[in-house]
Amino acid sequence: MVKIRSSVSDRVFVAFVHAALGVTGMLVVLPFLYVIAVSLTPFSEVLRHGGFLLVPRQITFEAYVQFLTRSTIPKAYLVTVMLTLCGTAVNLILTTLLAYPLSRKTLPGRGALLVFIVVPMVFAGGIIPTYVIVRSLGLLDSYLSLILPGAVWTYNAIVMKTFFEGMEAGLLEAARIDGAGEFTVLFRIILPLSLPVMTTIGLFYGVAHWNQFFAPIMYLTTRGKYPLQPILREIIMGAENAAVDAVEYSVPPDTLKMAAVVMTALPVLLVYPFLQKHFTQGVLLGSLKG
Amino acid sequence: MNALARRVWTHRAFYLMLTLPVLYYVLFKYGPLYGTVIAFKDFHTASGILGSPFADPWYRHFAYFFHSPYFTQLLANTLLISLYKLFFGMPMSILLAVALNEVSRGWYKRTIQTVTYLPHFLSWVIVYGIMYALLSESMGAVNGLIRSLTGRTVPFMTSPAWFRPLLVGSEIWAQTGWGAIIYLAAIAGIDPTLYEAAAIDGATRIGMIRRITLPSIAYVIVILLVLRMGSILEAGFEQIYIFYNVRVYSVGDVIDTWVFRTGLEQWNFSLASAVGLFKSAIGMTLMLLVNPIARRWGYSLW
Amino acid sequence: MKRVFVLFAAMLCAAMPLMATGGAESGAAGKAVPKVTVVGPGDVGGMPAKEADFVGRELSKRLAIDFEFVPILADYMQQINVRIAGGNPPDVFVASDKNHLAQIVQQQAALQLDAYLDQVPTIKSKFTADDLMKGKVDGKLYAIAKRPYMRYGSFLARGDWFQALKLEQPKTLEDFSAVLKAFTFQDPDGNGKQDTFGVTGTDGVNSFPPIYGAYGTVARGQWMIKNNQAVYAVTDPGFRNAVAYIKGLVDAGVVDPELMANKGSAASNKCINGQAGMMYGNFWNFYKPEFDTRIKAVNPKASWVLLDTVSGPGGVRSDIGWDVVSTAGRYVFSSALAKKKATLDGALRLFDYVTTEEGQRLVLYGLENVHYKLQDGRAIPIDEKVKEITYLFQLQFTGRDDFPYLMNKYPWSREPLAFVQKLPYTPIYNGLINNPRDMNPSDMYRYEEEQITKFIYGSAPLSGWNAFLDTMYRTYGLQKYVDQANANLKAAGYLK
Repeated sequence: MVKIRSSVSDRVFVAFVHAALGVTGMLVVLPFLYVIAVSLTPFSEVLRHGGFLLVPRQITFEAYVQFLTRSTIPKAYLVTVMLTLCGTAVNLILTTLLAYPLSRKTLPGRGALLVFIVVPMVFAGGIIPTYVIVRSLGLLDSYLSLILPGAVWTYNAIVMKTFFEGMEAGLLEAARIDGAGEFTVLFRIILPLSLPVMTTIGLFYGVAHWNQFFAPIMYLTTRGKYPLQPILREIIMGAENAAVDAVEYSVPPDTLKMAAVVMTALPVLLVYPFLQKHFTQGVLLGSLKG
Repeated sequence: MNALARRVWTHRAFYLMLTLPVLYYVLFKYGPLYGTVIAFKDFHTASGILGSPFADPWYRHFAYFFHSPYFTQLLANTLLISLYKLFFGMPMSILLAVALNEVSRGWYKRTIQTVTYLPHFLSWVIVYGIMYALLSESMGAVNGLIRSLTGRTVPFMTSPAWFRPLLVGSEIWAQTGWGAIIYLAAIAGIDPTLYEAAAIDGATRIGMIRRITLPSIAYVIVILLVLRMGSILEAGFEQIYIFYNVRVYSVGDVIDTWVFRTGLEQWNFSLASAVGLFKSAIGMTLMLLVNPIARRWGYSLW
Repeated sequence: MKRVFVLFAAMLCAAMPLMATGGAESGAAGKAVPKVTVVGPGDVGGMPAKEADFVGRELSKRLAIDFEFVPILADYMQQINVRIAGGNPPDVFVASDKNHLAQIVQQQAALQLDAYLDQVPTIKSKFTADDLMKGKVDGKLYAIAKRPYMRYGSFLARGDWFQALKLEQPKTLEDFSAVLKAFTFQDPDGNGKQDTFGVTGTDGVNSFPPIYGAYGTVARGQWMIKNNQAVYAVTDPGFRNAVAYIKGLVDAGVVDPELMANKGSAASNKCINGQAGMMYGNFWNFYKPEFDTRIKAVNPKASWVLLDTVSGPGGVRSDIGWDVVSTAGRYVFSSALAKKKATLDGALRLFDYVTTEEGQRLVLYGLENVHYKLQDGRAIPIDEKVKEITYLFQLQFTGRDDFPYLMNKYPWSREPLAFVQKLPYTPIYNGLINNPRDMNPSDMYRYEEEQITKFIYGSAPLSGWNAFLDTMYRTYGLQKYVDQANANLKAAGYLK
């Protein structure tokens, strides 16, 4: 790559951007310091400071121990990981199978198909009819009920289609001239070059699976099958609904809530940096142009 | 006719690809649509959706919604909050993505990016707790500062004047980083030789942003805008439900929170369905209006 | 890239069968026993997983069923309603209140239980006619109402602040304001800073029940009987005066500025960390060891005392409105059970069993010789194990004899418990009153709450009170509710 010599105004600009990003980063991270600080401090200390801390004065892992030893947690982690992996795989496969044909501008019926997928995005049947369908398919209380109903998001399909459309037409023509079938073109040429969009959409679906709490609550009738989020929600909302008359309600301390938040968000945060490098795909595309 | 048949035949592989997704849509997206008929019926569990009698008159539930003393307020609040979020939120995400693209040092870029999308993972209950801790009049850090400077406190949590800014601000804080992801992916697809060529021509970085980066992702921006129109009346139920209280109802009560109190808690699924239908109709209309405008610029949804 | 793809596909294939069957989740007791699932609002955090629920497993064993209790914490109504409407109701579930029960009955989702009363002899003998009546709709039994708990609520205040400021507990409303002002402005914690305030709460306008009581009325949204008529709290003249008094407190600056925005444990946290001097609540939340340690950890000198009621004009006093048909939960048996005889039988036996003496010992105290020892027919809890059995209250489906139970398990609660029972209260009748058909009260409730809040905070002058009531009648149809209430109460025999 040719080294670009930058002018003074450019250097000032870049420095400014770096600074602005740094400030933004700090502003954004502040509340996280709060979450982590509270999760590591004994609850009484937290209360003594009016509930707001940025730096823990005393460190204790008690809240984390409390969280991880709850009888429902270990299985929930396993469930959530499996759900996310399987679910995202299904999502990506189906979405690609939808988006790629739609991106071919010569496809007969393309317009109608687009209308077909956009209408239900805006008009939705609602909770009860979806529940009835899930029930009639015999999916209640099975993990498929968490994967299938949301298998394709029209929004994501349209984004993917848009990316496919933006790809170099020349590549595909070259491949077809060489006699490649459409499936081969899809697998051998399009997909390897689609890493940015696959990673992006995959991230969207994956995070949605990880954070899913409504569908599990609705469709899973066996508590033992719960993934993480419903449990997290229970812990966080724990104090919200404590009845005045129930003597023995346990009120989770704020420290436990924060530990739960950290432990639930952590895995995804650890995975993300690995996905990030697939975003910088521009280089590869350029080299194929010639 | 023959030409069409031939075209269909040459594209047969694509139709094969489409079978599974289309089946999915029929089952899980169109299947439940029959349920929208609840909006026109008096839903009775024992009779099910199909067996329940039609409402008398058929528009009864819609009328109930339109005749509520709060109808105009709900509609106004919903629209305003949704538009504020769009108007302030979308540019922020774009700005962040563009800014991140200007950073060449990998570790700095990755750190900032990871940090900015972190808030997306916090549930609104936690965000509310954080906000409360910061902005409370009695013990919040912010008010502590204000008090030492001016001797008075600002009622952030209970004042109608601050509620919408709080909603929009916390939404921006929570979602800007996440929203930037898609623009980053789009930027990643820009041919780097364009930048090189511009540099050789003596363009400044700002110039390159204006002339290369932004136009190259314009198609994504427009598509997302059109899509967003479809959910124009979604103001963010969960966030509002958790943030609001009686004192800010007048500026913060939106269609969804009203439906929640009036509909679901009162077993009135028909009402909830009717309002949902109303929101969808408005969204669809807007999309149909906006897409041709987008097409005029060369980017369109269909 | 290819490696990733292959790995992905492999994981998918491996996990799919797992996903489809929903995991290896088979009842330990074998397939022959009927599954009985009870769903209700509950403390999900405290409820252990099915395998760890030793009492649940014991119940399954003794009754030859596969029992599970599924507590739901948030959005209970929504979830249960969707399940019922979607055709998959739980075997047994809880109706949130009288109106919810009426709706469930109307939707034909509840099994009529009159015919099955003989199958639950213990319930039949232990429940009084009053107890049974709480589960009836139009005279027919549709739910088993859990026997109510005792009252636990009162105003609680910082005892050590009274001492520090040399004040006596307030007896009248004037005393009350004076105490609150002292708590706010006279530095009761002696740290040289004005960082305290008098009172906080989580219930919005209903945070101060005894104040309403001092004016001879009850909290917003509650129905009383006066002069042989049903009276909706807001329409009572005493209510307006109570609102004026509360406004006075707010103007004086003795009330938590975030009163209306407090959610969950925000208010009690303010009490624990020493900012608030008073709050209406459940004494358990201050005296229970779990909370006591927190309180003492922040301030070892802090002590919380229960306050007696204060008297208002005319010497009237009352602590809270207490529903004459208060119950801790109405358990509905799904109408689908009519076709699932084995499950219905199991469920009925379950409910009956937890009411018997042996069953009560199980769901109140746990496993014999593990969590308690039997001595002269009385169960003596083993101290170290008390923590393990706190979740059991969720399995006490038919309730319990509250007083003996509490005395046994928490002997230290004798004094506060006795104190609260002696506080005067005003009977309210919300549990007997239905919403008029075709009326949806939600807009009216919002208007009411918003207006009262505005009066309290001065955004609307109190001179507008009559106009406010007028709007309630004219725009929101309050009269229909009053008429319906009168009809309901007359039918229930409370009005002549």
